[in-house]
Amino acid sequence: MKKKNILKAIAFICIFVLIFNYISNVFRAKWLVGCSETYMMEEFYELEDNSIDVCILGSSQMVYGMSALRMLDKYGISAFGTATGSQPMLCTYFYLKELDKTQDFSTAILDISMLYEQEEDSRFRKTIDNVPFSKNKLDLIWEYTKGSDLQEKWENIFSIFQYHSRWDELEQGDFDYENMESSLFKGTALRGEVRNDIIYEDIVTDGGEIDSELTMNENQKKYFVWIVDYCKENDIHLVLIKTPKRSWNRTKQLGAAELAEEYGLDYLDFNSKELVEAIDLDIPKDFADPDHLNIRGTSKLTDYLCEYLLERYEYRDSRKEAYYDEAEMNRFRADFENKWLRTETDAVAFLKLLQGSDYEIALQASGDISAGLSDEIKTEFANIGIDVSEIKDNYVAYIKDDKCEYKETATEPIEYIGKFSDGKSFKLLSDVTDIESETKTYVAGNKTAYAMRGINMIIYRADSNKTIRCATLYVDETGTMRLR
Amino acid sequence: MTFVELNFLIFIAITALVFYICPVKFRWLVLLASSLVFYGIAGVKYFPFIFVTSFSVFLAGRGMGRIYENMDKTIAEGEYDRKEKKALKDAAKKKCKKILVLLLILNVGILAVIKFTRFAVGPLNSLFGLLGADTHFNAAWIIVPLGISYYTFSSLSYLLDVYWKRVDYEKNYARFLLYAIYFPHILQGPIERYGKLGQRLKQELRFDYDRFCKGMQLIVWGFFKKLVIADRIDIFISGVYDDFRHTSGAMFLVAMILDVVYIYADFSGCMDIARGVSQMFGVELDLNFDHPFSAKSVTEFWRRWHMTLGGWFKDYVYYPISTSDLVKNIGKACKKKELPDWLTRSLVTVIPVTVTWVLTGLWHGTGKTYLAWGIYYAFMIFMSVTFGDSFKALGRKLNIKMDTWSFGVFQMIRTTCIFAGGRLLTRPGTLWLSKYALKTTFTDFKVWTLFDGTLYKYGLNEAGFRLAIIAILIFGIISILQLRGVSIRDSIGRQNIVFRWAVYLLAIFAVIIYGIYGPGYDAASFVYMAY
Amino acid sequence: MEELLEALKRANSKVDWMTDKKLYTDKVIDSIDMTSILAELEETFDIEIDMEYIVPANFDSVDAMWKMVQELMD
Repeated sequence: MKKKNILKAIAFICIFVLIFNYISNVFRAKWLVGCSETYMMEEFYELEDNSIDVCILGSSQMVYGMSALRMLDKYGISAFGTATGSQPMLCTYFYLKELDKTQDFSTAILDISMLYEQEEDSRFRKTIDNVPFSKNKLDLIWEYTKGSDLQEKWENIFSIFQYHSRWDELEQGDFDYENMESSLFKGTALRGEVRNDIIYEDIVTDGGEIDSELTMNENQKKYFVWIVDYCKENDIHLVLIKTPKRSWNRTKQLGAAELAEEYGLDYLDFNSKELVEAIDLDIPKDFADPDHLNIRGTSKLTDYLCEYLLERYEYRDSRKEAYYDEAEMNRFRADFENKWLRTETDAVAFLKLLQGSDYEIALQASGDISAGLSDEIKTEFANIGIDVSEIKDNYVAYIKDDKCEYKETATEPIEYIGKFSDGKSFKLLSDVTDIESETKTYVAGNKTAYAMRGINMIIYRADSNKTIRCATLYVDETGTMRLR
Repeated sequence: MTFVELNFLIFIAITALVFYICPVKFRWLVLLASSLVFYGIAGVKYFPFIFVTSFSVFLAGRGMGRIYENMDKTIAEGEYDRKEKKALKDAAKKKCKKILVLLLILNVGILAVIKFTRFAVGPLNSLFGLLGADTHFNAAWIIVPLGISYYTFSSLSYLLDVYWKRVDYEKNYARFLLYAIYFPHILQGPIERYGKLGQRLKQELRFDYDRFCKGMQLIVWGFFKKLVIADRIDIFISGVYDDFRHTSGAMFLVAMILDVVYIYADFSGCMDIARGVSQMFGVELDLNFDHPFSAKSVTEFWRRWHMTLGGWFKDYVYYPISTSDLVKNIGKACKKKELPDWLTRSLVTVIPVTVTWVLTGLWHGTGKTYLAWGIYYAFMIFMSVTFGDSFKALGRKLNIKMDTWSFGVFQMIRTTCIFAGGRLLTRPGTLWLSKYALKTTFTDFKVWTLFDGTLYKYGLNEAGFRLAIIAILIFGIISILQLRGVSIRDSIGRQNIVFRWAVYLLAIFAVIIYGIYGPGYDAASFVYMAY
Repeated sequence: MEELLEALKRANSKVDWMTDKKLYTDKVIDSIDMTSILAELEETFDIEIDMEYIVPANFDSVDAMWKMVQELMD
């Protein structure tokens, strides 16, 4: 074959491969809403070598259960979370090995929820499709497709063969996803919701009944053992935990404890009375949903585990290392502040948080409500520049830096259109005669508040152009002050 | 392994690599080995069948060939007059005929048993039941070796060609086996004659970069036709016939029209892949399609559609029958009675045409639908033969100009409709459904269903439908260009490298992105939006 | 030769037997014409045209047919 032809052929193949990779990337389903696999892996490959000391493994409980940057900020420990929703143990094993390629961490914390859950195909695909090709990935595909024909192996190695049928539903996000925002910090995130209908008995497993029919999933257990063996061979301290969640029970707890003992591993089950009390878990306030902690619960859990680890092992102070990124830490702190504010359920504490902060407040109230407010509340309002005794008929105000920049009070209905300091407009309507109107506050044309007799506040953050919370302070039928 | 699988592409890649590494002399052995591997992957249990057929035919060919050789030698060495020569020739022929008949019965028998036994299973069980025995014959027990219709017909064509002294007999069994089992053509044809393919496989198979690339381009085009066009519109057509109770006549009509496109894209697509693969090795395969929808009559159509099958039936069934004594005698009788031309023609052709077409129908499939199909075409061709001249005369009387392009278009459409009618007999699956579909087209047309979105309710959404139409238009334009003598591959080959490569890459990615394959189309097994 | 042409004309009077085109290969005569031609030739020259002789080479022109007929008459 002539040299010219060989060169042509090689060039053609190279161009083909380039386009092929680009197309594969565009077509792979990225599940932008709420999915961590894509963003987590992006962060993963940006890590400096050997900058991680702790690896956080598990399913969604571990995405939200521990905060890597809190560990860094408060304790100086560098961590990275490879947890994702309903992550099968085989994938956890894969991530462990993948992280170990470039990182030399000494500790791994694994939440063992998945021992009692089914493996889901879509979760494997989410892992496989979001990682670059490597021997590790090939091993994962091989193990996952054991027993299936060759065709399925090809489809997993080259994801385009699975996703090409998406051609009629491609959207901007598929081409532009790097510019999308992620709420992940080093693979972990915080939840800014509060779920107040969860009770003590939902979580604490002590005294629960044993169900002898309930057994571990064989596959998950098998790959769990691979993880244990790998950690042993590579001198990684493995700590098993179980974050508090409603779908855990005594049977599972005992089963997990037994397994931990069999392999000589520490097991911390935060569904047990002992540990719930040890971290001072406030069940109605610390959960975002029945199975996941919110920022408050996560902070408590993170602190406890960090102290636990520091009692046993040594870690360098990564606040002085390359792992520490000032800009990222600032974003994290702002995120933390916002979510803390959002999960505040106590009115007084809430108002205290607003003082001395960067938050701007657009406030609307109607009717004579000052009678129901306690003195403490009145004081806190005064601290941010509001005199609640002025609220009789209709009232609107705009507060910045604890000062009331604008206020209007009248007996006729008020409609006020103002601007936050970044230019975004808001609208406040106050009409004491109109109880039924559902919306009394708007931000940039979008409705924000509930129709509540009370004080409606839009808490806005200008540096990130975002509305952080829409809160309502009201007095219920029993005369109790409530914050919504 | 089918053509449109990733595994097949890998198979070709490996075979091509081994093929071109091997010294030229042994390359045909690589083809033989890979064909055996290919056949083995399909099913090792099929091997006995192909060996029995190919070996028996090979031996018979050798036997007959030697009888003729001896006869020729005898005649050359001796001094015989015409009558004696004829006697010698007849004797040789008689001996060969015995061999021929024996092998025909054997191999056609195998083919017939395998094809038809499925239908005997039910009645057989009933029969035995009547006799008191409790048999449970199961159609699933019947093995259908891969490509049996194709390799049997190829082998029989060799047998007859040797018998009719049209081809020299093959002395090397391995060479003959390669001809019979050659993997590009064993799945769906084309049906090759030994005189052509057998000889091509004996040539020196040298590497030619241009030809190699052209072969790959043809494969991509074949994939495009099969995966992007055929399999896509098949979704719609199947959807219509499956949901026939709620389907309007307009939908049936669209399905019937698309079905014509479907079978053409599907079949010619596979043929292109076969030809392209073979071209990569330097072995040309015969064309099976020559722009069939440009045909102006049914007879012309069958000289352009599935050409190798038509050719096979013409050479090995039609001609032997129409030159047989029986038919010749009919012809003589007609001449004696001085019957009019058209009547003579029709009486002379009725037997050969009917037999040929019924057999062609049954070759395609067993069952009432295919029998009906065969009879349908026999009738159409019979009509054309008998009344063709009369129609022309009528046309002249009515002053219809038959050499205008518009009339030509009319003829093409007419021919296509006849073809669509044939498809209507076999596609729905039962004759009842064929009738139902036809009836509904007239009684329950519901023209508004063409515009109100009903089209998109049969499994193919609007985007998919539009894509199919665009792909079909591309196909159509390329076909028209080819009719005008443009060789697409050559034409693109003459352009600058940037344009060429852009076209090739576009084509490949069009297949990858728009092809119907993979889990996205297998709703049950893959839910990638699950969360 | 004249006998041949007359036989051919009897088989099909409308075909231009002396054309430059190839009669068989270029489809000037179709399979039905072939049937009549074979019948006429066999009767006229008292020969038997076996399948082995029904090949394009023998029927593409009147000359080729004449050659074949002569061969068969030997």
